[in-house]
Amino acid sequence: MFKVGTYLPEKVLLNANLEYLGWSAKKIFVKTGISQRHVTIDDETALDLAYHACEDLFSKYEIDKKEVDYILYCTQSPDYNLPNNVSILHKRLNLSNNIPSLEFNQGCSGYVYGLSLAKAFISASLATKVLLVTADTYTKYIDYEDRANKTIFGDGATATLLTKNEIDKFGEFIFGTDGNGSCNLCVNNSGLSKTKLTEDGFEDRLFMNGSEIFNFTLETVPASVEKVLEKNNIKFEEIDYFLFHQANNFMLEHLREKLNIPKEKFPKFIETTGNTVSSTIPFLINDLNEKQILKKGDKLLLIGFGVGYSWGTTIIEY
Amino acid sequence: MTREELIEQLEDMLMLDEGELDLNQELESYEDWDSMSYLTLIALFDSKLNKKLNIDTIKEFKTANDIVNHAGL
Repeated sequence: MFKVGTYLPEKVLLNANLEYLGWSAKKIFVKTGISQRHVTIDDETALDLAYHACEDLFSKYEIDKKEVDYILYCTQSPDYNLPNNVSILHKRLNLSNNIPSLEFNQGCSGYVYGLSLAKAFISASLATKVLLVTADTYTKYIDYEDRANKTIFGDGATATLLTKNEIDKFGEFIFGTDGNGSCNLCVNNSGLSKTKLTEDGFEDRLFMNGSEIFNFTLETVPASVEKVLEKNNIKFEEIDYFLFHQANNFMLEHLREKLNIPKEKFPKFIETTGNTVSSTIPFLINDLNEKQILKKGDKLLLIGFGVGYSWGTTIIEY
Repeated sequence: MTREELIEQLEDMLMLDEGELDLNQELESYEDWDSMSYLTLIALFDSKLNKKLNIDTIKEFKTANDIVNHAGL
């Protein structure tokens, strides 16, 4: 059982609101599989979303937050470059002072990274209850005229509580990195360097080379699925659900067909949220929890892939 | 995949009715020749022709005929 809390900003951007970009609402849906996305307003940030996702987790599962003894915070849309944002989240949640907190910068592979870190910390007796938080507000990076990105991305946050009960059922992990793809999904001038990663796209706004990202996934995802099955000594047919990073419906369907995954084993959660980066997999798990679809003992293959390039996959037993 | 099947797929990609695709017309003149159609093309070459298409190759396609020729059909 995965205890996941979630939060989506209140403001909703419907496809009809994006028709100024030149596609009809229907065409946006046909091309992306997304009918709406939640977006932050000006004075609403990733930390706000993260805080609400944590509160949702604590209240929904009646968790005493004072028992949390490690916080992991994954974001690529920090409120501040310094201090670390996790310290601010720690303060807002009013957690115990004598616990460690760690922030890490990963995008679409971030949730799988977080699970592996939680497993490592709990296995090493450095923690017993890890709060894994993912939060991103990519929409703040996107230019008003950028049709491709404006239609795909949404903002959101999740919080997952991980204890020995969960990590004992984690299998082996596979990770990978290829910095050659760093220029294909990036924001120039988003840190202290004045060196541009790309000359393409809108100046100092989110740039995504969708074609190259797609080629990267075609090479990496099927190979990684094969490797993680092999490493865990599990057959493809034994997997009950394949939980993929929800990039966009087109990419998901192509990968599903390429890997011959039956539709019933390939749940999706993207139509009402868009691509929420590090949060897509936990949003999907939360949706399956709410629909009571997952059963104890189900084998889930999780895979995150994208910005970096970075990818990570594992198999867990529910 | 046959040449006819590829042309049918290209018509779907460009949201055209059957028989509407002019193989010699500039791709840029079609409203739906955009970044999403690039993804469709990459998927098509991957799944039906087992060929990788990168963005530089796609940008060299001036007409649908260039795509058909690249597919070797």
